[in-house]
Amino acid sequence: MLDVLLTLPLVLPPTVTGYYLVVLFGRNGFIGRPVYDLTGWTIMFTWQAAALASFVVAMPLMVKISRAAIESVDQRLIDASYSLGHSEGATFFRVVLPLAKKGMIAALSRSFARALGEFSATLMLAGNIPGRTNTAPLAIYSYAAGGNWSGANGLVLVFTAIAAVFLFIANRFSKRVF
Amino acid sequence: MGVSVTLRKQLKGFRLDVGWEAANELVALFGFSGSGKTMTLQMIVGLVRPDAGRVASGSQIYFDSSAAVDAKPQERRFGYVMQNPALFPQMTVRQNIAYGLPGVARAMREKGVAEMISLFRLGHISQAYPDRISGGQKQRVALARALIRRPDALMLDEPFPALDWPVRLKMQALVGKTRAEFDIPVVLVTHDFREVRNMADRVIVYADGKVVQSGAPGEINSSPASAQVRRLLAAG
Repeated sequence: MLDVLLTLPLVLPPTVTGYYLVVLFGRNGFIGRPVYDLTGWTIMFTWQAAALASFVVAMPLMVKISRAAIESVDQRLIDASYSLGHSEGATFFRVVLPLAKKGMIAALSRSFARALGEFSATLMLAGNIPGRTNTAPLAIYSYAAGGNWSGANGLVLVFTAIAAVFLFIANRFSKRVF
Repeated sequence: MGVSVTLRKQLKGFRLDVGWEAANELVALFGFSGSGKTMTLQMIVGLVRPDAGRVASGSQIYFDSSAAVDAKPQERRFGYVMQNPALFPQMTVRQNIAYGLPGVARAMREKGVAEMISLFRLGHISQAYPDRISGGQKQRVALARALIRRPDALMLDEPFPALDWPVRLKMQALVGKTRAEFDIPVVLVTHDFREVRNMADRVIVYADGKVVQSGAPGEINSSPASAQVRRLLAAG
């Protein structure tokens, strides 16, 4: 059940995920309304909303890939660690985590890239307010839609450069570990 | 000091029901693959839970279904070496051995590691990672790692079949020497009767999840208790 809930954002169109977030966190939402009544604040159309949308959309990737990395660690090594007198916790930190490190870094880079590119869910929850919630993909869309080609070109180049540098670092790192 | 076990477990299409004791000696569990030898060791060290039975080492009771005692593997003072040496690939030989002595002050641990490295002649590879050493060396590291905390008994699950015969002979001699040095019961799982003859003080013959005969290797060899045991001897 939890697995289905965690995986849904991976397969749903981000617009649908964004809609659910609005239903949950909007000023009249299940969580949003009590928060608004209590504090007079709503997450809608704030940068926090953009962060939340990116998080919800990217987290399943992080969870799925890291879990696969952790499950791929040889059970015999875990058994060996127990039989040598180490607790579950010590075994996790000294055997499982170091051996799953490569997969965890891959998980981090994949989900970070997904979060960077987040568009629709952000648009639903945070809107596209210049200087406040216009994340890079949203700003590029606005520029292009408004015919501001030089602005769009600049941002596209910056965005591509950031993504390339990030991938380069991620690749370097994952080759260095075991 | 001695290990005594009675174990019962029902699996789909297989039933294990055994009971035996090992005094301060080298006992071989001998039988075909699938007769329950490996599972017996896994139950002794606490990795597999029996349906019923009792596992005791000296005065320590680690499992007793009638008294609801079931110690975790990390609480049982057994050394355990698997067929696959299961060395941690991210640690050097030295670090692998040190990992076998948790919860001990650094100076004490260093001393123990140095002793093990010299006892098992691993000095020249102590800084190497497991993927850089030979199969025989890996098993020596696994032995050192299992013995560094001075366990009350040593469980060896077919530790040598992947090795060439000359290396196996050396390892067999090393285990004998180690048993004398540590003075503890050693239980060796094997399906090779030559190994039994070379190493064991006593043999416990397994077939289909039961003990079918036990005695000195020569005894078993000269008077097998059944046609089944005779077939086993011919195959091993």
